[in-house]
Amino acid sequence: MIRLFRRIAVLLLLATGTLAAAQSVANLPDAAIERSGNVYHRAVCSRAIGQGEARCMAHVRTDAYGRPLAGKPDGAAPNVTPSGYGPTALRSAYNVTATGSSATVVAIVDAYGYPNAESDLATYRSTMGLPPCTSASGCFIKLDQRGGTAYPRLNTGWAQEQALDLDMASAMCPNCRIMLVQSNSASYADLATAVNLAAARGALVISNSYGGGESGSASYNSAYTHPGVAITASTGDSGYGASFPATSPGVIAVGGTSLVRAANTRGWSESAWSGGGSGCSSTYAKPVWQTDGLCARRMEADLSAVADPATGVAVYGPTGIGSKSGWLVFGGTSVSAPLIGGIYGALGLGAANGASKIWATAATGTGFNDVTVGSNGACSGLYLCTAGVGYDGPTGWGSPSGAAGF
Amino acid sequence: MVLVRLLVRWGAALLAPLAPSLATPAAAQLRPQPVPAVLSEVLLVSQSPTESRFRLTVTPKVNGFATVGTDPGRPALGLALTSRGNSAVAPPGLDGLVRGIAFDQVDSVLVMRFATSAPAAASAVTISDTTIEITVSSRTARASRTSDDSPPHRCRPPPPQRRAKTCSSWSCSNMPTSAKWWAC
Repeated sequence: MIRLFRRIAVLLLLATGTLAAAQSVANLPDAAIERSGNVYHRAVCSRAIGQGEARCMAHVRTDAYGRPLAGKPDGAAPNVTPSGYGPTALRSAYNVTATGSSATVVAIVDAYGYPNAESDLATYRSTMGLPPCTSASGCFIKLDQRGGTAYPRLNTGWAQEQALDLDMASAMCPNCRIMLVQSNSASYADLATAVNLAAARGALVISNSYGGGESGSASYNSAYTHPGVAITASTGDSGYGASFPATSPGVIAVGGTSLVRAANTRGWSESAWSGGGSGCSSTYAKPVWQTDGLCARRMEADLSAVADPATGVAVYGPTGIGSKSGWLVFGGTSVSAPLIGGIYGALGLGAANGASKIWATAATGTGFNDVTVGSNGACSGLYLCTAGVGYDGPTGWGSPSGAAGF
Repeated sequence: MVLVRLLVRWGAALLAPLAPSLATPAAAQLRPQPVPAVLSEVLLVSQSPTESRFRLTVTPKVNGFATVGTDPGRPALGLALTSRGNSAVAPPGLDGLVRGIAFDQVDSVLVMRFATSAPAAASAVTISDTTIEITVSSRTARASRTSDDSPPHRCRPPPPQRRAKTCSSWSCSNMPTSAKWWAC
């Protein structure tokens, strides 16, 4: 049915002469247009995946026809501020003042190629007033999953994911070095190979904005625990339900919120994003530091940050129209995982300050903005899918409030 | 001497793959895999207009529990990774604070909801590996006691477990040039 609508939309757009718009719709992995408040958005990676595969968790804001909304018309109005939250707003929302150092490597692991990664990142950083981060200076490096430069083929959805990840890591840790590792495919096997490579190459933080079913994941679980490395993982974009690698005991599972400005002391307020993931693993054992009562195995999330496309972030990346790049607005827990990864990088913290530290310190009532409103599904009001005081599945212990929680 | 050095190198090479597992206490930081449990009995221990007590028997062992919900008219208890056995029914003669019990399976969680004659709250304690005692008290009865009951939803983690930073690759970042940094 969705494909039928997509074809009809493409034919209508072609008939009305809007070729570029038709192309952009035609490039959609599936044209499942979703709505968050008055905002339309769609997942940039197809939801149709097989066992042992992951999909990225990014959502691009669109119009009612599924066409990505340009956050800033490319070239037409170069001085217009991009739509969506930028580094200043995000750092303010989470009270992050640290900027990191070049001794810290934040790795981004994603599938498939993205030829314009470095140039798009340069545009984001220069527009947002962040220092340059180039391969020439040694700040940026792009690797295939074996550590070489035999980059995999382009996949527009995953390339958009990579743009989002690079921009969020930059926003939260402008002085960190960034390593982009591109796996050959979205299989757990290839993604795990890429994660292991990132760890072997000295990453202090590894961000993973993807996930899939737990079935068939156990063979790759070990890739998500590395001594001294903080590994973040998105909890998903389909609401209540467990997702791997977010349920891997070694990761920091990052859920999603809606983030809006507010007239309070913080200046912001948050609620659970209905699309963010949470759940109780059916596979992975419960870490001893996890103390919630109703999940006998690994519970996700551990903490959360902005992910609602309606309160999305500015990203410079592939538009899906030819090879053009432009300003887009993104949501999904693909925003929150690299954002939290960037904070770990800015603070220079690795696995010793991972999820166990979050759980240990959160109950003191400091370090996190407790998110107490919203839900991501139906679970009879249990904390598994309903935000409340203290720990809950959709938002974990809440969103960061400075460095104290880490 | 050369032979000794070779043996040391071979030994190091053989042990190297074990190093991460030795350095990472990940396995030790996990609880044993749980076994799905069944609620087999609900026993009424005592009841009055202000308090009702029940003893729950779970086999083979309790996987975890928590009081849930904030509706004072319907206090509830959730049992992790538990289903209801045929023998687990509301005890007859419930005419104290608790007038009825409803069972609700939410995914792997068995939720017991208590219908009460007055606004009430539930608290529960472990008696043994297989037994939980739950107390449903009226708000007025609870207010008259000095109680340190935690509010539902709040989890208190154990003290943090610190691990040494043992990643040898970190030392790479001390190298002087960016090329060396990435090459390590």
